[in-house]
Parts: sequence; C-alpha cells; structure tokens
Amino acid sequence: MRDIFQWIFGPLVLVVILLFAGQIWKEYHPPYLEYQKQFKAMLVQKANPDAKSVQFNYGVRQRWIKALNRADRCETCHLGVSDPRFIDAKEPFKTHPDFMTHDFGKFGCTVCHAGQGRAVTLAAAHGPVENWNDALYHSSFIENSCPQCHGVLPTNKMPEYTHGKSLFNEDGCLGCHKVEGQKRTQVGPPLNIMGARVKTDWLFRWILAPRAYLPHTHMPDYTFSESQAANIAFFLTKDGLTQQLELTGSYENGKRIFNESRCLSCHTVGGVGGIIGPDLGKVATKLLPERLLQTITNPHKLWPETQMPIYGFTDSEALDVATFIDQEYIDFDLTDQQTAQQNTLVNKADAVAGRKLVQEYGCIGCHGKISGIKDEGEIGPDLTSIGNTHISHFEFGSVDLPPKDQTVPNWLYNKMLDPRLYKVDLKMPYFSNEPDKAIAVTTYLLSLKGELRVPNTYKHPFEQAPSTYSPQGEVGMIIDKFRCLVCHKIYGNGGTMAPELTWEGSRVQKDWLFRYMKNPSALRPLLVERMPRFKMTDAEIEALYNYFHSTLVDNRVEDLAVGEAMNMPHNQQEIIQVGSDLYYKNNCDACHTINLKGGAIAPDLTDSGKRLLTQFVEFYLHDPKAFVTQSVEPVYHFSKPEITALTAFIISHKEEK
Amino acid sequence: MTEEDTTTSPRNRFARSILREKIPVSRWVTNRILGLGAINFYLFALLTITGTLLMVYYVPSTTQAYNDIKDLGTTVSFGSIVRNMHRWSAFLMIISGFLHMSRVFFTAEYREPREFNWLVGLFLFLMILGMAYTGYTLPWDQKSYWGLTIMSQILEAIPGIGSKLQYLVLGGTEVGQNTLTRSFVMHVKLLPLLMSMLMAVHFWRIWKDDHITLTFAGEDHTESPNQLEQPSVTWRYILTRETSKFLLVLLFVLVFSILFNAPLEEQANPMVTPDPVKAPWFFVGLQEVLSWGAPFWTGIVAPLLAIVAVAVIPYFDHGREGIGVWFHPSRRLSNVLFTAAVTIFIGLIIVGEFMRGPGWIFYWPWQHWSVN
Repeated sequence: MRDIFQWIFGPLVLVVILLFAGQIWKEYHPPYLEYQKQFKAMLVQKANPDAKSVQFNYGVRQRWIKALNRADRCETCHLGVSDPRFIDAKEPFKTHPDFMTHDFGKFGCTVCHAGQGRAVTLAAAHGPVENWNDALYHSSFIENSCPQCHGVLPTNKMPEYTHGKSLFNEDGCLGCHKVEGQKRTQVGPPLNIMGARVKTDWLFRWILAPRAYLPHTHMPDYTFSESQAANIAFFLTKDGLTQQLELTGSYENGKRIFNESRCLSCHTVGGVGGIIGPDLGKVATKLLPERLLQTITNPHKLWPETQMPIYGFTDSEALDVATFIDQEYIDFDLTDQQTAQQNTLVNKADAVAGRKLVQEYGCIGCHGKISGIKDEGEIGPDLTSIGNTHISHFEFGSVDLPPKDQTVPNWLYNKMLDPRLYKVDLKMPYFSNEPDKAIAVTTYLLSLKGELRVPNTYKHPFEQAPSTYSPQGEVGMIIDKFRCLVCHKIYGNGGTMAPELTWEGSRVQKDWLFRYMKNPSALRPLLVERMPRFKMTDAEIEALYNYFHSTLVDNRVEDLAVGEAMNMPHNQQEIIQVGSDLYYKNNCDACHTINLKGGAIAPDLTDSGKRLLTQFVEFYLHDPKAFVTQSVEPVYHFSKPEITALTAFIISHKEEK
Repeated sequence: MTEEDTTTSPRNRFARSILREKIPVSRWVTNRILGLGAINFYLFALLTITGTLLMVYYVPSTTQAYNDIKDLGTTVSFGSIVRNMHRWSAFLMIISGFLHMSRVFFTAEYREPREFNWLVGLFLFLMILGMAYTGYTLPWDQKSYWGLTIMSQILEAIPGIGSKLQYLVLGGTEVGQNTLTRSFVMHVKLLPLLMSMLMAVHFWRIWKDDHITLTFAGEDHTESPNQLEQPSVTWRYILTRETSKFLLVLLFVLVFSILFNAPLEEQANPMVTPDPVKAPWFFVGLQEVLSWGAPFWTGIVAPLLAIVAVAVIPYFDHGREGIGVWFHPSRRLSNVLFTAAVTIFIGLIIVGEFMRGPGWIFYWPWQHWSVN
C-alpha cells in the first residue's frame, strides 16, 4: 500500500534540509560584509608597514547608549568614523568631523542624525522605510539636533540654527504660531491710527505687494487681490484725518541736518546706508507730512517699541528735516494719476469686508493694536513640538510624493518655500523663497521637539542665559531716549553693531566723551554704521559720564590706575622712542592709523592721548582679548617694560583730528 | 509495505514488532478527510518550537519589547526567519482550524456521539484566536496598542461588570505595562497549557468515539463496522505518511517565511492614532460588525450568539443520514445555511480589511484614500 506521501518523503527531507542550509549560508553573508571587506582592504593599505597583520573582526558593531536607550549599529558600515586616517575616504568610511568633541560611546549616532540605529541595511538604517519615519536628517538640517544638549540660545557654533531662529523671530512667525516658552513679540507697528500716518494709496500698494516698496521687509506677501487690498486699506484708514499739514521748513537746512545726524547709519537711501531702520528712498510716498514731522521729533510717542532714538531736535530743526525728506524721497515712477486712481479705488471699498480680512488673517498677531479688532490668540497651529511630530499629522494634500520622500523635514522645507503648496486656500503668507533661508527655518522648526529627549546630564549649553540688564532712573531714561542699546551692548544686553560699553568708564577720558557726544567722529573709518549725532544736552552727557565712571568700569583696570602704572615715566622722550620702535617693528601700523598713516581695520590712534586712559592702554596690551574675546588684535606677549614703552608712545598722541 | 516484509524478516525484532506489524487504524488514515486536524497539531508543534526560540530574546516590557522584535529582524541570528515562521504558522493555524471545523460540519461528524468533541474543538478554535490575539499584542507596536485600546473599549461596554472586566484585562485603567504582562502570560503559559489539555481530550475522544460508533458511512465501511479492528496498515506507513505531511507544512511555512517578512508597525505611541485603526485580520470582520452599532450589542452579544449557535448545532441535529459523507443530499439546507454564514463572515473580513479607509469610511480597494 503506497500513496503519494510515501513517494515524496525522501525529496521533502532533502528540500527542507537544503532550505535550512540556505538560511545558514544567508546568516553568514549579511549585506554589510561587503563594506567590511572593503574597509579591511583600506586598513591594510594604510597600516604601518612594520605591522605584521591588521586587526579586524567581521561582524555587527554596536554602540549601546543606556542613558538614551539607543542601540546604534551605524558603525557596522561607517567603520572609519573615529579613525582620523580616513578623513579623505569616501562614505561610508569617512572620519566623522566631530569625532574629537563628541564621544560616540556617550552619544551614539541617532540622537543627532536620527535614522534607524538598530538596522544594518542601507535602506532600513537611513530610511525612511515603511513604519520607520524617523529618517536620517539631511546634512543641511543636522543642526536641529544640537539644541537638545547645547541650549536654544543663538550662537555662532550653530549658524544654521541661529539663522533660522532669528528669521523665525524677526519675520513674526510667533504672531500666528505659538511656541511654548517663547514670548509672542509684535514685530510690526501698531495699526490703530493708520489714517493719520500713511497715505491711503501707499497703504493700498503696500498691502498688495510689500516687497515692491521695501525689498527686505519682514512683512510677508499675502497675495491679496486688488479689491481685498483696497478693502483692508479702507478699513485701516477710514478714521484718518482729512486736514493735511503743509511742511514749510528749509530744504537746504534740513538736508544739512539730515547728513550731520547720520540718519544713514540706520536707514538706507538708494542702496547706501545701514539696515536697522527702513529704507527711506521713497518714504515721502508713504508718510503723511504731519506723521513724518512727529516721527522725527519723538518717534517713541508714536511707537514705544521702535529702535529709533529721539535726536533732541528743536521744532524748527525737525521741520527742516521733515521738509527735506518730504521733498527729496519721492517716487519718480509714480504718477499723480496712478495715486488718484488708487485713492478712488480705496475710497469706494468695503470697510466691513476689510475688517473681516484683517481679523481672519490675524494681522493683530504682529501689529499689536488695530482699532476694531480683537486679539483672539495665535491663528496658526502650535509649533511647540513640530520637530517631534509624527508624519501622519502632516497633510501632503494634492502633492503626491513617494513614501520615501514623505518626511517631516521635506514637508517643512517645501512649505517654507511655498507656504500654500499643500493647500491652496491657506492664510499663511509668502515670506522668502530663497532656499538657504528655507533650510535655516526648517532646521529651527525641526529643533522644536517639545520635551527634552536627552537626560539632564547631557546638557552642555553653549551660551549663558541672556542678560536682563536694564538701566534705571535718570540714566536709564537717557539710554532709552537715545536707544543706545540698539547698537551698544552693556552687561550682555544690547546690539553688536557698536563697541561694548560695559567697561567704558575704565577706557575713555571725560573730556573726550563730552567732545565725542557733541560731535562723534568715526573711530573705525571703514564702517557704514557710524554713531549718529544726537542733540544731547550737557546735563545728559554729564549723567552718562558719571554712570560710566562709577558703574561701567573694570576693577582690573581701575587697580592699575592707583598702582604702579601711574608712576611710570610715560613722559620721557627715550621711552616714547622705544615704544615707537616697538610699534613699527610689530607692524601695528598695518591696522592702526596715526596721523593719517597706517591701516584702517583697527581704531585710529591719532588722538589716543586725549581719548584713552593710560591704565586702559596698559591693561589692554597685557591681554587684548580680556574684554573682546573675538578681538582680531594679535597677542604679542610683550614684557612689562615693552608695555610701558608702547603705552607711553600711544598716549603721546594728543592731536585733534 | 508488502505482505512479506512484515512476516519474513527476523533481522530486527523491534522493527518487526513495532513498525512492520499491521495495526487497526482509524478512518482518517484511509478516508479522504484531508487530515486537517493533524496539520493543526503539526502547526501547534511548530509554534511551540519557534515560540520557545523567540522567548530567548523577547522581554515583555513596554520599553524593551519593540526593540527586541526589531533586533530579531535586523541582527539576531535566524531571528527573522524564526519570527516569520511563528507568525505565518499562526495564521495558517487559524485557517486550517477553520477548515477542519468546516470539514467536520460538511461531513456531519459532529453528531452523536461526537457532540462533546465538537464542543472541545470549538473551544480549541477560540483558543487559537486567543493565542493569535495575545500574540499580536506582544511586539508592542501600533497594532498592539490600538488593538488593545479598541478591545478594552468593547469590554467597557458590557453593562454592570464592564469596567471591572476592563480593569482586569488591562491591569489598570489604561493600556500599559500590566496589559502587556497579562498578554504575555496568557500567550506563553495559560493558553498553551489549556490548549494542550484540551488537545489531549480532543484526541482521546476521537479514539473513543471511533470505537463507540457502530455506524460508518462511506463505501468501505458501511457493511462492516468492525473493519476498524482488523489490521490494515503498518506503523511505518503511518509514520512516513505523517512525517511527509509535517514536512509539507514545514516547507510551506518555511518558503512563505523566506519570501515574506512578518509585519511590524511603528512603536506603540499613544500620541499618534492611526486612522483607520484596524484589528488583526481575523478580528477585522468583528470590527466591521462593531462599526454598525453600540459596542455591547455588536462587540459582545453578536459574537457570543454566534459562538453559542455553533456550539449547540450537534444538540439540535439528530439526523442519522449522511454521516461521513461530503455534502450528503439530505443535509442540503444545513450546508447551504452554514456556507452562507461562513461566506458572510469572510466577506466581512474582506470588507473590513480592504474596503475601509480613514474614519472607517467605505472605499473600493482601488480607490485613493482621501486623507482629509
């Protein structure tokens, strides 16, 4: 009695044994073995000729990071990451650029790079693959991982992240998007009295296309239609004043004051000037004459958050400047007929529809005050943990991408380039379509991971928390009036455009400060942004000097003033001569100028004897980087007598410039 | 084996006595009844072996389990093939268990005296489903987590004891470590133990019922019910035949495991709800029913009624005609009803698995799911 089962018994045993043998063969030939063989060959090439053999074991290499609960097997193929001999090798063997600073035994790979650390095939490890969307970050976005340990403060060690963060804050993203722990700052001016501020036709053109007027404005383009723009413009200006002020000052006088006051340190005209304030090239087409005059007289009254200082002009001076600006900075391409047409269009518009648009598009997020509009909070999605959000929460809409491209970074990057890519009727406006900015902002967004993903022991912030320094009292009011901290930094608070003033009291002489405040000369002739000429009163300068002298000092310098430095024979001609020899021997004149001779990189030393305090020069020559760590001044390690001689030489220059 | 082999060779008394001696043998060796029960037993053996191997690496912890399964798929030696075999054997066991029950129904072999064994078989099938379901929870991926979540919501819908039962199954008020521990204990200890015991009872009843029965259908046995007692085949024949069958099953599972990896979704994440949340395929039919109404009626009462209906079949069917015969004409109505019920349930699985999109909205399989 035989049946089919009796016949197939033998062949079945054979086939099953063969299949099992195949599995064993497969187990001994994993895909990564090819890379390991290549690497071993490279190792043999690079090995010391004396060495008898190269130590290399085939197999999976793993970093098990207990603190992070990560097992990263990337080094199974990326075999040269911590071997400096492979710095020029091709991937996957290349040396990691940070192998000295980041101990891979402590961090592993995926905590920064993402990807699937447990996988050991190319596709699965790099991703994205099905059911593993945490794909390897493109190198452009890699800095998004740094803030996990290194803190969220801007630093030049994370340029992409810092750039993205400043774009995010300055372009007013926080007006519509909440980010936990970040303050919603109003980056635009209040819009509650627009009718008294700007010309209606200008506002219409501005809403229609902000970049046509100011190419670098933070105001994004909402791609409103002409009728929408007219409705909004009408709503914003409908309570305006009808009476127009006639500016009757002196054009010539205004021009003189405008130039003397160095308005172009902050403002640009015709491509020349600073970038703190807006371009003034066509400002006469924008501001109503009365508003122009008010801005020049007291900008703080109109907009408390403005960076513009109060110059302290007299009424007639202010009128002259306003007259000059009103007549000078007009748009020659704009005809009266066009403005009339636009004005008619706006005046016929629908204020109710305009109000609805202003409310819907969340204008109040950036423009703190708009009459008739209630602030209802951020209108956009909360971005607190956008960088840690699952891909299924991102809608690609009609954009049909293969699953391998459906990643969060990819979604964000393309959204930055074209905010309405995934859904056409979104309210999100168009910012910049420059890829480098999109990369920066995407990097920043990816860094917003919500909760901390590394233990506290991994924290290693690059920067200290920002200073809360804010001068009070009389001096505080003066510093606020002239907006000193827009350019200068004191105790870590303020801008970086002008020299830090934290130790100014230990640096400069009283008489020089008085002269300089009345008529600031350029210490560094190459700079565009020069100190504006304010109309400061003697009392104000006195108060500032007293503050500098009593508070903004450095004890290391002050100690020199009462110590031996003062007893040095600085006036002796021989010593000055020694200092002079040292000065020219060390090529100091390559950067510094004395009496119109020398380089223009460093401050002019022609009047140092009248400007600088002796003890400051002494101290500075000891350690040029004590105050400004990024100072380009070389460290020469002068001896004490040499420093005395150089100090004597430098302060011997008391010429007026 | 031919006649002379069994009698003339004195070489090996042991072989002669045990392997070559003709023995009385149950019908399932000689009749064409597919041997699905035996196949189920082989799959159970395969599952026990591969499951034991998987336990070497698997740690039932919510933080560890998913990573362990990932490791099985990426770096553990033979981890992938063993896991695949475990998964596909389990699927195959559900199918062959179902086919086995269908065969018993179509040949009307649940009738007296086998009504008790039909019940035992039914419980065994339910346990297969229980094993499959608890097995699904162990990798602690999205399917595990959200499957458990749905199930706990169904349990909660039972009036009175609902929330207590939910607490018992989850080991708390929400799906977490205790749930996983309980699933694990069910999957590797409680259910295998119960299944082994029930299987022993099942096999014993087969033997006993065969002896009790005096009525055999089929062309060879109708006239001589005592055929059973007469020696017909040798042990060697039976062993070769059954080993071949086992090897066939093994080969099928092995080839399938080499060709297809067992799925593993993303790690369980309470923050991300997949849409749609779909139960394992063998429960997706129930889920489809569940989508029609209140969880208590659709998720508890309806399945229980179905089980009770299947359980009581032998106690209502007292006919004597057509036992052991495929599709006997006298049983046309029962067969049609049974086939219809089974078809509907398979249809429900197909609809649930392939025609339900986000929000459990109906889509044809070729239609694109609109994400909004």
